[in-house]
Amino acid sequence: MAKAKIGIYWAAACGGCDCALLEVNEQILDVVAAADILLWPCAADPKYSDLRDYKNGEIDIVLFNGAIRTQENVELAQLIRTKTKYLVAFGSCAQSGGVIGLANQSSRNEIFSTVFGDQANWPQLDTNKNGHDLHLPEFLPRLTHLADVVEVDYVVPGCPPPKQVVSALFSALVAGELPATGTVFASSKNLCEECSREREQLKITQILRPHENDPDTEKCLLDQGFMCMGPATRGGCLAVCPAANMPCTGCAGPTAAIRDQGAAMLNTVASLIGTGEEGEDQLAAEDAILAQFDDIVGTFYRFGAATSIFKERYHERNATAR
Amino acid sequence: MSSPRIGVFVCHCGLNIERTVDTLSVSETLRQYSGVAFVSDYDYMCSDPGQQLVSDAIREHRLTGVVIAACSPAMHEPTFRRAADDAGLNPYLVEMANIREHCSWVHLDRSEATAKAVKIIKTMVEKVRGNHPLDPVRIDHVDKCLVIGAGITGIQAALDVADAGFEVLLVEKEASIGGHMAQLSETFPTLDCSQCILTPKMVEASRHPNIELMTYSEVLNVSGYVGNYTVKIRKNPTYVDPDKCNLCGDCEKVCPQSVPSEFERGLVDRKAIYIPFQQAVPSTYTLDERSCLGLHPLRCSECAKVCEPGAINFDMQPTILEEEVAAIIVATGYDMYPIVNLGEYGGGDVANVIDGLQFERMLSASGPTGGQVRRPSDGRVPKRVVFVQCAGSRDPENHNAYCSKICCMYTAKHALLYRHAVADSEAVVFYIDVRAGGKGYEEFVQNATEHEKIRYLRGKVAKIYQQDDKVMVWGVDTLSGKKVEIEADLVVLAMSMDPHPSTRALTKTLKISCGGEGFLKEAHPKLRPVESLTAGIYVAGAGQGPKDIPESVAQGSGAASKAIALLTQDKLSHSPETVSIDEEICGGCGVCVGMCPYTALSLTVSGVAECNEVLCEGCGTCVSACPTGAAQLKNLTDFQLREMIEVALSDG
Repeated sequence: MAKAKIGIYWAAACGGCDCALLEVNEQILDVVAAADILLWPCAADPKYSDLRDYKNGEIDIVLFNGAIRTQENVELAQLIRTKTKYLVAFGSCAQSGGVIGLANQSSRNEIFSTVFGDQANWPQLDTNKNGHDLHLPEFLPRLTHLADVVEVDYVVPGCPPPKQVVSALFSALVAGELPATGTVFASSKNLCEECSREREQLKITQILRPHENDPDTEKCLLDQGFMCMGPATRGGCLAVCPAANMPCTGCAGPTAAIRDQGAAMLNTVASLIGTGEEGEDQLAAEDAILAQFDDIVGTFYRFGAATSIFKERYHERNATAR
Repeated sequence: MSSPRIGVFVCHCGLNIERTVDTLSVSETLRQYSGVAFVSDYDYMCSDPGQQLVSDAIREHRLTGVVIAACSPAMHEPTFRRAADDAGLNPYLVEMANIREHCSWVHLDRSEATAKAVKIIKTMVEKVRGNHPLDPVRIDHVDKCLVIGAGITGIQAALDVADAGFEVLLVEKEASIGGHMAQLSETFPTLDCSQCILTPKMVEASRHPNIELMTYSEVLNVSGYVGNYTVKIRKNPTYVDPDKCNLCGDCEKVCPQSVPSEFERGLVDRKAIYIPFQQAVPSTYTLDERSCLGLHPLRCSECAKVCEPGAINFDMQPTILEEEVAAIIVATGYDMYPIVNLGEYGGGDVANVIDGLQFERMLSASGPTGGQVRRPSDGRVPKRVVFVQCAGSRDPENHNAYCSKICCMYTAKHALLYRHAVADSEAVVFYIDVRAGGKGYEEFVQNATEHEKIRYLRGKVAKIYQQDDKVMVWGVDTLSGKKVEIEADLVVLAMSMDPHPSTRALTKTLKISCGGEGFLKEAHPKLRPVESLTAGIYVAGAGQGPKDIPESVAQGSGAASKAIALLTQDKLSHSPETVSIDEEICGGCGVCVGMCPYTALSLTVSGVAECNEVLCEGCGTCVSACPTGAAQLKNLTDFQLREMIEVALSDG
């Protein structure tokens, strides 16, 4: 049997996903034995032309990590899509925009001001330096995820994807038994299924951030007031964060039945918040609890801001300038 | 699955819809909509020919779903679901698009209303597209009914259910049944003796072979669901064996402890061992543990020493009874608004300021004064009595906002009976306005004002206070515009009616709701006045809102007939539009379990949530709380909702 041809690509990414590939340890040897790696910018130094030279559909599968931030990301995603049979959204950024999706709370101008300062220093799309024309890819007005620009066949969630999830993908790859397209390489259930903590069905009476108190190691973090995203997040990682006494941040994204992870969790938290008392003071008491939230978007949409129903902040004043 | 063939039926509702919605244009637009196989409009879709139109179209056009664009589903959903069922289409594939209450009735602009009607209908077409055929949930039930509260309402309800051949458990918190009606002297407007018409019913309730009477008892816990409630009732110890007690009254004579008599409204004392009143049912003495010196021969056992039949047993323990009942009638009744709350009227301070029920006891032949009107302070016969209506009622700033409904009538009765009882007496009534709606009521008040020389002053009383041995009443006569100052011997406050203090706790036990004032809440103020929102639990009497005896009795019978309708069914059916849990997705976080107001949800041993669809009322609270999307309402899934919202917000 001919060796499979695989590619690994990064768009707007931090590099963590590439490292995560190696977390499977010696299993990587099975992968290399079963497949040739045709594309891996993190490890080799491929050129656009190399990729263009492949025949359409020549690559069997590409693991694509990173979000779509620039026009170059879009073009490469489209090019890769033509060259590969299967495209995998690998990691939270490819799956749903990831942490950097939080940038959608700011306009492009605001981001540029923060990063480059004076408008004079902002990058220009087309410049001429020393007689050479230089074209930079456009920084898109809004960050988006892979499935927004091309069709995606599989999703490997996580920030970065945990070892057992990557391993499951590699096993399927090596065995030549990829599941039906649309498969998400994680549990179909939420994280609570894998979490060993005890939930007592308590009302949430206070909102705590991880540094504000030492969580009890046996009890449900949510019961204690720590905003654990586990209930609204797919399992598959074996609940490593709660096991390490840290609330789940939601990197694996929602279950198949949820459109908007943050909204789902906000609904849950809103249902759970309460002082246990009834009467006229109840609403004020609940408002006081809600006021303890420091960063609602960053808590509930840490990985899903770019794919939320809300999409981005509405910039009234400079709506036209953008 | 083959493509959907949905029928849309647009009702004109006479002019109700047609006036503001162009039904013809709506029909034309819908005819072009994807999935719609048949469209028709008609004057009154709910009429027989209208329903026929629907059934015929279902058969002829092999419709897979139906949208009736007409009124609220609360009105005619059952009508059309039945029509569809008759035509062989699963009734749960029929939905109402409300283009009347939500559209034609609330808009004036015809073109805008027409466009909105189209949207509403398209939204429901999307819903029907995602609907699945469902079958009602069938439930077995037991054949017993629980009635809580044995005032006149509860007694009437119990008798009606028992007469229909079903077993009734009648639970009363006090030592005797009868409620407040037993305290009344004569009843308006016919002036028949209250006890004379009540006691036969009390006796009948106690003797009825189908009624099990539990006095001095409280409902502790209720679980289960319609047709199969499990109720836990505690019978508190009376320390007197009713079978042995021969009512000799020797115990009462020797008892050293006296406390104000509840039945006599504190006008006189009773002993710690007592019988509430002569015609009490069950006819036996009760030893009130709270006022007894100590239930122990070392402390005091005077009563036990003199009891010849040996009926007194200090070791009597509370007993807990667990019963299965199909239906529950809640008839918890009322209490008077506390007179001490009316400090401005001397309530609680001035001895000769009393409430209406105290005056009833004075007027009653069986009362502490033997039917003579006498002042509590010195026992003298008052020559001038001022009656103050709306005491604690219709005063949203300080007291109850609502009208207590019966006070105008009982005040007229009080004044009239007083005038009859005391020669050369003067009766003055302060009123805001006289509300005498009811058969013979207005005539009764007219008679009181015209022939009985009772002075009616329109105005509010500002202040009541003691001066020497008189009670001074300051008020305004708003008809003459003059200040009024009356020197009275006795003042009777027509106190507001409160829900009985036990009501709120009981509603929590029963998981039914109270309105803002604390009265039991009915499912619909007009069309479902004796039902609670929980299936199989009914409300009746003054616990549901201030009302007089005839109304209370009518509600008691009404609630009974509802219970009988339930008890006579072979099996009960329950809407299948409940919650389902996708076990592939549920990770068992348990958020839903704590949310369910009907305790329908639980976690199974395998760690997923499970919905008992018999208990589920389909409210959807768990669905919005579920973080995984595993909990979905049947035929109203998130997916359906999204499709519906999409259409509702689209331009087309």
